[in-house]
Amino acid sequence: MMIAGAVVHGVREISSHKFRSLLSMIGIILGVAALVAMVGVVEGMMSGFRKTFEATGGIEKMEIEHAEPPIEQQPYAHRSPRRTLKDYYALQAAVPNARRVSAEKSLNWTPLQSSTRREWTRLRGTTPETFEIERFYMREGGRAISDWDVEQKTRVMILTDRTAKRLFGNSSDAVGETIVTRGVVFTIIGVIEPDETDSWSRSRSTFIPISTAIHYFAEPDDDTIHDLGVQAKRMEDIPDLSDQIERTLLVTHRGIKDFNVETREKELEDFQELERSFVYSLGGVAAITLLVGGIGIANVMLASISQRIREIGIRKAVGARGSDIFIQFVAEALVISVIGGLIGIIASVGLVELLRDFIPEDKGDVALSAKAMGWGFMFSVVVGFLSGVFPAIKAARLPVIDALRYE
Amino acid sequence: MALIELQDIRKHYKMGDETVKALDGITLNIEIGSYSAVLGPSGSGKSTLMHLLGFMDFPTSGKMLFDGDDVSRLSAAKRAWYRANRLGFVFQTFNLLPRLSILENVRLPLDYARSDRKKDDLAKEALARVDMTHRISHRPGQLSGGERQRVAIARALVNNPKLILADEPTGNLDTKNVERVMELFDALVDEGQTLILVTHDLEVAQHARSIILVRDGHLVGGEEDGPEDRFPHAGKEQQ
Repeated sequence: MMIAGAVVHGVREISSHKFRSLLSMIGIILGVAALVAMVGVVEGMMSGFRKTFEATGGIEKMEIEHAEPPIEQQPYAHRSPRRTLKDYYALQAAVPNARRVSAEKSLNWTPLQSSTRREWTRLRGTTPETFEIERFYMREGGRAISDWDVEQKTRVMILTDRTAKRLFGNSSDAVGETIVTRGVVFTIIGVIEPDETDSWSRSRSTFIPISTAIHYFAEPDDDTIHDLGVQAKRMEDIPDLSDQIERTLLVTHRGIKDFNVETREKELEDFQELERSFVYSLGGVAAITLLVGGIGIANVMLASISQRIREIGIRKAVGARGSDIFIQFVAEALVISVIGGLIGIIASVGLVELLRDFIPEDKGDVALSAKAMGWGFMFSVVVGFLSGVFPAIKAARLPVIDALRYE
Repeated sequence: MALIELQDIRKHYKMGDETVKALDGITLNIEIGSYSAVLGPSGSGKSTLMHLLGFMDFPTSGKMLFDGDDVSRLSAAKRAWYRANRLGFVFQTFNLLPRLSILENVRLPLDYARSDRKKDDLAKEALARVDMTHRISHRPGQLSGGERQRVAIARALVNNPKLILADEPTGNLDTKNVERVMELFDALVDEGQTLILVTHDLEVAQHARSIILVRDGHLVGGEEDGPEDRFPHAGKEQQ
């Protein structure tokens, strides 16, 4: 019998035992739905991470972190000024291969007071490059922080669209207005264009020049900064660049190595590691579910074969070969698993909608991926085939005489 | 000319330590167009002979020719090919598939023969031959025993077989239907069909034109002149 005929026969056989077939499909349905939803969650998380990773400078960015100096330098550690704005200027002057150098002094949560309203935001003292690296774009009629602002410690401020709306009602009215924060008056010079992918913390940031932040808000003898970053032009430049940075900073830190140049390769690797462990553990769960589903189908097939020994005998007597019987039963198992797989894919749509409500948007968008559906479907076909093979071989090997006599 | 030649056919089974000689040196010719009845008590080897003639089994030793070809050592797939293309079977219990329609049941040997012939037309022709065309879309369960056996005969005819094997075809039928089936067989033989009938029923065996008597794995004797003079003897053997 042709394979198409076997499939048609399989569909008929299954539709004559609807409830039994549905029960045997449940494992496959759950397995495929779980697989598709898991891949959706992991891929969503990954794309969320990539977005954040790109928005904070990408793989080309290096961070200069504060670190304990080596033990032999510890008696002199106090001689180092630690990371200061001087480092920022020194790096700009000494590292021509860098695309951008950025520095930041974070002031954490600070109240902003307009003439009528008050709003708490994260105040960040930054350099001009931060706006390029983190992709903050200005609304028309405003400007970002400039080198001049940093040099002159001007009292200028950039608000996000959200903050501007909450303080002034209309964000386009904000430019030129004044804000008081911690007793210092600032003039608003720009408002950041909103972006629907903005995370919770992105939309609650307020920017002033880094020098202004140090001058007005730091302790009198504290001119340290919190973040110092260098973005390379190309990934290949990173090793050279990291040497140059180290030599430059050793000069400004008076020979004390109280810093580390950290590339983000490690960060990326850590995340990829995390992704792998997610894929393995979630994939393992899905695989076990599919395996259980396959065992369910094999079980039903074996039961159905012992019920149908006589049918097998009759078919063989009128000329069916072992391979015809084999194809018939494998096709039946395949039809069960393919229908189960399709139902599973439909179920996964609902499951993903459900998961979307539980996972915060800025942690990644849970998305249905066609690739995951393809995998799920392929797996269900493979499972169906494998679970059909053993019962089908058993059926194909039945001797025609014994099968025909079977009552 | 002989359709089937059996030469010193033996079939031995191992049952534990004992060897059962189901057939022990059978030599027999089945002529083209002949109509034979196989008679013999239970355990005589009659069924084993049927299985060999029906390509469902193979001999332990000896030679079997079908249409001039040596078929004593065929693979399972090759035997299936003969069953699909050269043979027709009629069984005591009809052996129709309950989930298939009458038409599909009759068409089944053609499906397995992988023929490009117009299967439905051939199946309808075969059903017309047994006068069952009015029920082609019914299921076997909706038919009476006599009707089911006629459908089974249509299935045996559909691939235009060289040989029809009927294994106790009347065992489950009432007298009226027995007559009808036997008339059908007579008509087929008159058209040149080779037919072998296995039966316990002497009245049924009377329709055949020769008798093959099996006992303890041996042939007791076959008479070409008709079964009548063998009946008293054969009748005793039935007991």
